[in-house]
Amino acid sequence: MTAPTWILQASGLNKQYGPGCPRCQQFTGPAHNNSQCPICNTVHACVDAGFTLHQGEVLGIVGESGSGKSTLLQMVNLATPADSGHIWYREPRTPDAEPVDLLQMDAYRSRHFRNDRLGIVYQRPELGLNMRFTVGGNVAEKLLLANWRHVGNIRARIRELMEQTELPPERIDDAPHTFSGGMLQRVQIAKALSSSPSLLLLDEVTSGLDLSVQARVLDLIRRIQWEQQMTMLLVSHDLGVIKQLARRTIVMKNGHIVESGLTDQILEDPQHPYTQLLVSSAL
Amino acid sequence: MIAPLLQVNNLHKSFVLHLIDGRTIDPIQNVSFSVDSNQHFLVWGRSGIGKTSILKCIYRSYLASSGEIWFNSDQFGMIDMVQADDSMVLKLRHREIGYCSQFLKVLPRVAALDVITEPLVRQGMPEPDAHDIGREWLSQLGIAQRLWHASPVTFSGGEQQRINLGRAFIASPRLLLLDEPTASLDAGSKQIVVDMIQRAQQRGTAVLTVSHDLDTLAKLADGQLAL
Amino acid sequence: MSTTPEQLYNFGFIDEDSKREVRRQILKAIALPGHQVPFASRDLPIARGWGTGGLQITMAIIDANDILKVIDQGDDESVNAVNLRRLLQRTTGVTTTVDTTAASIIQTRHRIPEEPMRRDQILVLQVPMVDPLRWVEPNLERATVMHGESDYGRMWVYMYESVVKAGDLRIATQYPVIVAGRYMMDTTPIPRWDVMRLHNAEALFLFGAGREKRIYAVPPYTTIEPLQFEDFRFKTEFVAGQICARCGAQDTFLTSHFVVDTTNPAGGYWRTSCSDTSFCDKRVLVNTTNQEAPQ
Repeated sequence: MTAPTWILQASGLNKQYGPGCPRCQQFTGPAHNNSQCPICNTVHACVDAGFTLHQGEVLGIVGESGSGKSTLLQMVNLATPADSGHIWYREPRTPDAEPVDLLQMDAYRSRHFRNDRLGIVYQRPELGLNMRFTVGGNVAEKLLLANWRHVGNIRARIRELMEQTELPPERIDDAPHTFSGGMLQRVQIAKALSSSPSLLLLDEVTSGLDLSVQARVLDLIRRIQWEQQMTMLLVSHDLGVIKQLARRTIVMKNGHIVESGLTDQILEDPQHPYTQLLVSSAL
Repeated sequence: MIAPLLQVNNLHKSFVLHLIDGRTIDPIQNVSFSVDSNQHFLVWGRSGIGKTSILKCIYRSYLASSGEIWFNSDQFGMIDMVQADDSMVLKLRHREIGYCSQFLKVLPRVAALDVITEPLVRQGMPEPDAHDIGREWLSQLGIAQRLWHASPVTFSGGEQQRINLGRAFIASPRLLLLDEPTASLDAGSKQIVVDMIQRAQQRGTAVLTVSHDLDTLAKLADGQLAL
Repeated sequence: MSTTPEQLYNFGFIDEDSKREVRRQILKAIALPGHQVPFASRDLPIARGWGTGGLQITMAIIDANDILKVIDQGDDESVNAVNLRRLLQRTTGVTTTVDTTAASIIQTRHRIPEEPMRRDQILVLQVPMVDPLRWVEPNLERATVMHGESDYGRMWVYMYESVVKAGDLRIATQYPVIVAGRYMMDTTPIPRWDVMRLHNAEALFLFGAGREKRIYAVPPYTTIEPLQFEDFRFKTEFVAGQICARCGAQDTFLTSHFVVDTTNPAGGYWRTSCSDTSFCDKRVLVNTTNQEAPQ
């Protein structure tokens, strides 16, 4: 029997904004096409979500705006505190160690974990980068947070990461506003990779980019995933992106996971009515 | 007696079309057959009869509605593809079960050489070695050398399908599922496919073909199922 | 019976309740070195931005036996220092001095006296801007969370950027330091020359910001670590060859001013002298005494 290869096991993840009331369940959810309770105005952003993520695999999360996919991602990112649930994590570098529930870690350890073991790339560069620092300074942030204190070493590592993400290393001291959208996504990727994370979180990273630029960024992500066997959680509303990168996919609607399975099975034989609607709506 | 490599029992697939008032379509009902290792098994019938659905249920691109699909895995023993979880299916697809669709799903910007060697590289073979093997295959498949580093996007249907087939055969899975392998090919290319199937069998691969091209494939088959 | 203007005010100008609040916040600040403690900053006859924070601390802690010194940029005789000293003297009646070694409370703006202070002395510093994080996080709420969680990474990026933009650490004043290994603190606009004087000192340092309404403290024998890199270390200012024109010192912090030539409008020159005037005076006195001493 082979050793377990899972790296993340999430279960029962809930996030709501508002007090909640006994009638919430009656009026919210995919069957009601509604995330907000009309009686108490509570928004149920994520309800009882769970999934398993294996080492080296890409799990896609697809859904439309308001589906809860970004909320789920931010709970895994330990940035949005979950109301309840567990996220069990097995560190790939120490496979014999006991799994840890990320949601039980204190604020200090959470922050350290997020900086060291996770990398995140956002749709809009201004969410993941600080526009007032240089490109190099942005890429260096995680290193500095991890107590790197030698400027020469830091710069060498930044240049290495820039080359890895197809950015010109001589532009290390340039201001972000001089970079194009596609390049800024690559800066975010370089920053995310700087701490050699075990998990990369990608939130709609190519939405809003020009088509040719989107293609390049996707190719870069695919190459990095392949070369580093990087485990990824990929949120997108674009089925084409999911198809290119994710081997398994979960479909979310109104905060609930309505379907999950192999990506090709979800696309070719969708079971849930909403998934069928999504798949048939692809251009 | 050794268990067959693949045992399909009472396979039933029905689609529920929620977008069209929830009506159901049942392409396969109560299909049973078995395939031994090294066998070439042919499932034939006219278009639209559900042959492709059988393959997809085995490969798990479709979720079977009921029935059993027992696969005798090298690594994991007898696995029912209908009940297996996603990660098991992925592991089986990685090394033991290959699939060749009717048309090549082209990923733009990926060179033909990379497309055909993908299964080898994915199994851990170093790229230069994989590329050596890939080049041999491409020339045997009659793909001109100047096209090897181009993306198959601009190739003819026949060329695309030949690369598709090459990719399916190149890593010698234990069971290879072929969906209409000769459909878009001329006579010469069809012969190439015949050769590939025979050589695969010699190497130990069992081939399950779904086709309406009885002329080419019937004589190759060790077993048949008419739908 | 006529009352003098001074008799119309409480000892130390502010009322006893206000003093109690300031003292309580001072105690809290001492208990949490480098942590910014909010306080209700009172109105004073001096405008905000002119030392009201330092003033309120001094007013809260001073008693009749204290000996007070007030300096501004090291100078006892600047307009600011003179006015603050006069206010304090008239509302308390305490003895004032220019001698650092004789004072028990020294209120200062932007400098720490050259002569090392003792454990029976308190230095009260006037602070313009309190939060070292304001350069990287202008939002107060978020900055407070960063302090609470010791989340100072962004400040390190700021230091990196400083090195990259100027080739070396180019932060001249308000140098960020880590106090007692925990809080990041703004050292106020003292020159880098004075920063390490806060480290492991015998005296108590109190920092007051009236406009920002914050008090913080560095208790005696507290570690102060300036932010620096292994290959770009914290350095104090140094210009080779500069000496004080008055006393000849080469080991004090120097300031310069332009001396106008009343006879020649186009003339005049820059004159460097010690920033700490009382210390300079002492050395001048020593030099003169030495010169006059019999050989």
